[in-house]
Amino acid sequence: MSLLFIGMLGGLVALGAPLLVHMMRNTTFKETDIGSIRFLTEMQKVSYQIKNLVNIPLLLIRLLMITILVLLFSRPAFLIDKPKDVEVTILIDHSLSMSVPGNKNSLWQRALEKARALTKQKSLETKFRFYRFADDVTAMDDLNGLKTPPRGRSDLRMVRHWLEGAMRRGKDKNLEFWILSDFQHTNLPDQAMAELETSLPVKLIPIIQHEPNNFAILSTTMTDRRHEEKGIEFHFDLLAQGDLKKNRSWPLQLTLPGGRKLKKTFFHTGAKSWPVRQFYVKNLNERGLAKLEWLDEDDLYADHHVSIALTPPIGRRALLYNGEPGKTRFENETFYLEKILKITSTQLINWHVKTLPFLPEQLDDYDVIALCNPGDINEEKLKKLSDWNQRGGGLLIFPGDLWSGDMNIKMHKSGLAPANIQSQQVHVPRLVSWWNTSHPALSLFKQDGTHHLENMVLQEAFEVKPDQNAAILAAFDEDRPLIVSRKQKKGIQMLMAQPVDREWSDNPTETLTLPLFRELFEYSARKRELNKTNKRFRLMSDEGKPDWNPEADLLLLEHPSESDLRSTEISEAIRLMGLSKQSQLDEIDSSEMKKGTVEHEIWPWLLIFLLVLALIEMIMGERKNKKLHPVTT
Amino acid sequence: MDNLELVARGLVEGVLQGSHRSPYLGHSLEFDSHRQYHHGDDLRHINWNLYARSKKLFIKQFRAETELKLYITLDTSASMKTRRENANKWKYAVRLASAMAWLAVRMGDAPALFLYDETLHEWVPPRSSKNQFFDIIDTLAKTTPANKSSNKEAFRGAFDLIKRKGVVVWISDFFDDDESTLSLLSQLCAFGHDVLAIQVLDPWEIELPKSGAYEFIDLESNERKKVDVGALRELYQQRVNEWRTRFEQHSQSIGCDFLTFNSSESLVDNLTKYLLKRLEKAPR
Repeated sequence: MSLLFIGMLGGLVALGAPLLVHMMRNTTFKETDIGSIRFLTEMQKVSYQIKNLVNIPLLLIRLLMITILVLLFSRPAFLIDKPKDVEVTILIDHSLSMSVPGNKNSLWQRALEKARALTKQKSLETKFRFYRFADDVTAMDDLNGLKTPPRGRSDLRMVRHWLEGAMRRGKDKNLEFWILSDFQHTNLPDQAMAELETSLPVKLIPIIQHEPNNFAILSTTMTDRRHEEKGIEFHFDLLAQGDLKKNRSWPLQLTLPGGRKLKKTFFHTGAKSWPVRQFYVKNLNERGLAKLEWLDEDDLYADHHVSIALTPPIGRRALLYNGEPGKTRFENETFYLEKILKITSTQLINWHVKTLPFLPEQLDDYDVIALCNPGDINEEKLKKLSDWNQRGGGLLIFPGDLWSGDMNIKMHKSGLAPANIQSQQVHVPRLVSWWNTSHPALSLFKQDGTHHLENMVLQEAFEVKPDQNAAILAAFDEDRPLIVSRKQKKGIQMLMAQPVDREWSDNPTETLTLPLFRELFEYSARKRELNKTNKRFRLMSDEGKPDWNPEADLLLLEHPSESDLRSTEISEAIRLMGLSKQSQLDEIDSSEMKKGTVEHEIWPWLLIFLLVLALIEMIMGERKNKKLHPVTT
Repeated sequence: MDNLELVARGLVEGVLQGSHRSPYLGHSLEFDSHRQYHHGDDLRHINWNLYARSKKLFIKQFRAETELKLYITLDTSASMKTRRENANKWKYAVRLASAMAWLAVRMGDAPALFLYDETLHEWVPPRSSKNQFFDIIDTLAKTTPANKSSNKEAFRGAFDLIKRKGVVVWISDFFDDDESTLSLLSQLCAFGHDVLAIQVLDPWEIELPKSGAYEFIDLESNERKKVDVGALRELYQQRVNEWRTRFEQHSQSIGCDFLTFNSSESLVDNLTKYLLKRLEKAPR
């Protein structure tokens, strides 16, 4: 049952009125004096019985009456689907270009064959009408027997007017139009051609002659570059050879790991080769093969599909403890670390960075904590930090000018510092003279050249004396340690003898800062499995917006094992595309489209019911009144 | 109790308008009838003139020569405080008592006043002077209803003070022990008193309001009871009627009058109605 004026249901608010009156009457007791309550006490039990018998049913009846009244205004009706017969009009291009001979048949013949094949796919109830067009639209009796050779120019502008007229004439019917053409030398602009399919129930079916001069090579360079906001990026080149038709549609299907399919149709602009096209899929965290393929195999010479292995992104969460917040963001101790981690996010590892001037209660939310110029942290917090570190959290210490002897003792007491840090700073410039290339954190720096840590020139380093169980990963000349590391149960502690801010060190200006710190963060970070997400895949345009515009002709296809998702996806696609349900359903399943409805309103029955209730209410009300106003003599 | 005197006088004058006889006859030396002489009769009462004419001895009979005592007994328990917008039970009862007192004074009788709650706590002995009326209304004006009522205890003291036969006007709401009330009425009648029991009730004590939820407070016990009167009204009225009927029937059986006055109704109308009825019944 449906409601024709569903907004009227707002009237149900009126239900509150009798309820309120009832509650008010039953809850507010006015105090009053009386000589004796002996009769009232005797009759208390009887009173409740009477109230239950008279008041509650009366209240229920009144509520029911209001509900029915509201329903009456909402006009409830049973909507019974009554499918309309589909009328398919097939328009076949009969212009001169369709006479181009192919291997076996001309394009005209191929169009007729295609039309015959398509008619067989439709249900028996479907009515077909056949027309041919060039500079005029002419009816055909059937798909056989027309001997007239194709001639003239195809006037798609005229065809569009004809279609609009046909739509107006048959507005009560369930119409569908198929245009079979080579779409060569048409007088309709690309944009108008694309609009034709979205604004009218029209399907454009290209009839292409497979010729050596008319093919394309899909040269796909799919990468798994990841963008924090856009998602994983796929981009491909299409190298067109020969005279590709303008507005030629290229249906592309992307099969994602897990079997989900996304289809996207590109319209060729007419250029010899396409520019690099790219699109993004968000929320893709599955490992496996993704396959990109062109659905229209006939017209592809080679490489009609490519596969690529996808690696899920690794999400890491870092907390940067900012011991000395600066006045501007550049003065912050953590500013450059933030930048480094953000840039790193474009790679497979996705860093979620949070900067705080204090240590939060919930440390388990983070895989790495970097203490940047920590001043005074109380012992309780340090104890928590130590627990978290021992459970697997990675701790990076970048001492600064706030570092004190007290802090040094407290850090050692909590088992957090892998080395004893002297507050006195040694003036440099200093060079990095040695680093452990066999250590996983520094293995990147095996190569010569740009990755050579020797190229780093550092200023203002601390004197560091490593603990016994700590290892020196890198050192200045004279074997003064630069990076010290230690394992504490499951966690890793790393200490850098250099501050990380621009004020105290030249670190940020070093080209090696980014890879070095990135490696240190990645090495020390707690390793954890990523949760698999059940979020839907979504194609994104280059701008990162959902690619749901009609021109892109995006379509979500149903995967056999995920039929339960279908309705949601279709409805969301409709909503996002801003299209009418009808036109979208055309694309999905024409047999489901354009169902008419027959309304069987039930208001007369409700009215009768309401009258009966009113009668009952009157009788009960009368009874109650008699009880209230007894006839006294 | 402003102008209680005027109020009482006004009431009584209104009641007696058009009537020239007291409803309580027999208090003067008025000749009543003759009867035949029997041996032992007082010779002073022989009508010698009649003997001269008829040669038979007849004795003159006279009505009672003593003044009538009107014992006004008023309940001053807390339950008499009940009041509504246009009905004040205590005021009504006081006016009624005052009116009865003035009526007695006007007729030359001797009104007395007894005030009781749990016990008999105040009384004005019977006298026939006009000052007696002022004594009574002074006493009434000073009294405020309070305490519980116990007519059994009260009359235990009162019986000693009302030994002489007279008219007992008992004004109360009778929210007391029913058995005790009925027993006292019987005793008063048995002593030869002419008893008039006037029950003064608040309108809500006779009939509950049509609808609404109220928390009733018992003025004597301070007990509280929450009631949806709409549902209870009919049954309540039925019980009150049964209660009153019991008093009326008992009173009828023992030969005394029992009246119920609604404190929202006109006192003049109620009193007139009763006294006229009594006058009709009274011997001429």
